[in-house]
Formats: sequence, structure tokens, C-alpha cells
Amino acid sequence: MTELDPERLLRTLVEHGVEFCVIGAVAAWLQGNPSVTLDLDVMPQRELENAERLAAALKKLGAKPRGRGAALELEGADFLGWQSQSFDTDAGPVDVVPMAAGIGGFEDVATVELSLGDLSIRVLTIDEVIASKEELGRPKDVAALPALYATRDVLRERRRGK
Amino acid sequence: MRDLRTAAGLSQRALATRAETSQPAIARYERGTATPSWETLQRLAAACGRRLMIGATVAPDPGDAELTRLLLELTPTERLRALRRYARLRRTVEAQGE
Repeated sequence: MTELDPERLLRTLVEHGVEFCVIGAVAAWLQGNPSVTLDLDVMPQRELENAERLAAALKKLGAKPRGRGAALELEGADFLGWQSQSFDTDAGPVDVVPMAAGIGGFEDVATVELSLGDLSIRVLTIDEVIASKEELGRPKDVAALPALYATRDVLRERRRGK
Repeated sequence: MRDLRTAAGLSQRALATRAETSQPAIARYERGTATPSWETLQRLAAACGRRLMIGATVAPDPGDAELTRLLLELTPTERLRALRRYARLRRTVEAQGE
């Protein structure tokens, strides 16, 4: 598995004009949550033109379905379903997640916009990350919750100016 | 409570009317200088379109709160780059453990 280079991954998606938001542990990390992750989860807008841009971005990153060595010819239509897909890329692992448990798809979720240098990225709010983890309820999701609650509380304190 | 009220688009006065209490009482609850009874809490939640439930869940971790504050001293770009360094470190440590 190639080492995660989140900046390169995000830059490639943005440069290909992909409409997406960052979800999962990277979204939480970017808002201050101290749990380290080794892959990037993105939620794309589910629409054919955007799916084609996503396929082009992943091709540029040399994406291969995780666990299988064979390269594949990605097409936009591959990203119109609701199934999550995992890829290994030249810039690390990427999960494409069209629908997240408990919170829905791209059009449903609450996001915040972060400026990462010259990149502007939409990121799932901490409350939404928590809602999804609570809904999933797997041991690894439950284990992530104390840190996420702590981050949520700190962000709320800051919003209230404490 | 403030989060629930603002999410419902209610002023303190509107919430007080709906929940049959007073605006100053709401203000005290939100400041944390007074504690509503369970029955009042139920009315306040209902007035915000919510149902009150009691449950037990994992608690926030104070150590994680401190780490969050430290991470928030970085810019988002610095956090993104720090993630790459931490991911590299974790992979190195995991590889040494194998």
C-alpha cells in the first residue's frame, strides 16, 4: 500500500474539477481531531459528468481497486451506484463513499469549507462524522468516539469564544 | 440547549412561550447558572421538535481535547501536512512491529 499523501490526492481531485467532500477520519483530523488515519475517504456528487471527472482524477493517480493488482479502465458510470469503492493510488489509499451511514449522500450532508493553501475543500462537519460513526457502531467506530466528542466540545467552546 | 434552540430557529422568547417558561429562565439555563427540572427539559426539547432521551455513551477524552487544541493552533494546510508525516511515522512503527 502506498503512503498517504492527502495533499496530492486532494489537489488532483480539485484540478479535475471533481465535486466532492472529505469525510471520515481526514475530515475529523482537519478540524483538530487527533486520530491518525492512513487513507482518505471522499464523498462525490453522484452525477454523470462529475463521476467522469472523478474517474479521470483516479486514473491520473494510477488507481487500482484495493486488494487487486490489476489496473482497470475507470469510467464515470463506475461511480453512479451507491456502493463504496476502495482504491490504492500513487498517492495512497482512497475510499470513494457515495453514501455514509446515518447521514446520507453528497446532497444531504453538512460540510464546512477549509482553505488548504490555494485549495478550497469541503469537509464533513464534526457533528456529521460523529453521527455516522454512531450509526455504524462497529468497534472501531465506537473506539473513535471519545476523541471525536472531545474535538466537538473544543470546537463548540471556540465558537462560543471561551 | 442553545444549539437545539438555534437549530430550531427559535429565539429565547419564542422557546419560552412554546415551553411554558420564561425568557430569563432560558437565558439562565443556557448560561449554566440554573438547572431545569427533567419535566422542563422535556418541554424545552419538545418545543424544539426533539424528544428527550436518557442514555449512556462514551465520554470525551480530556487528553484528546488538549491534542485538539494543539492541532487547532496549526493552519488547515499545516494539519494536512502533519497528517502525512504522522501517517508515515505510523506505517514505520507498524512495519517495525511486523
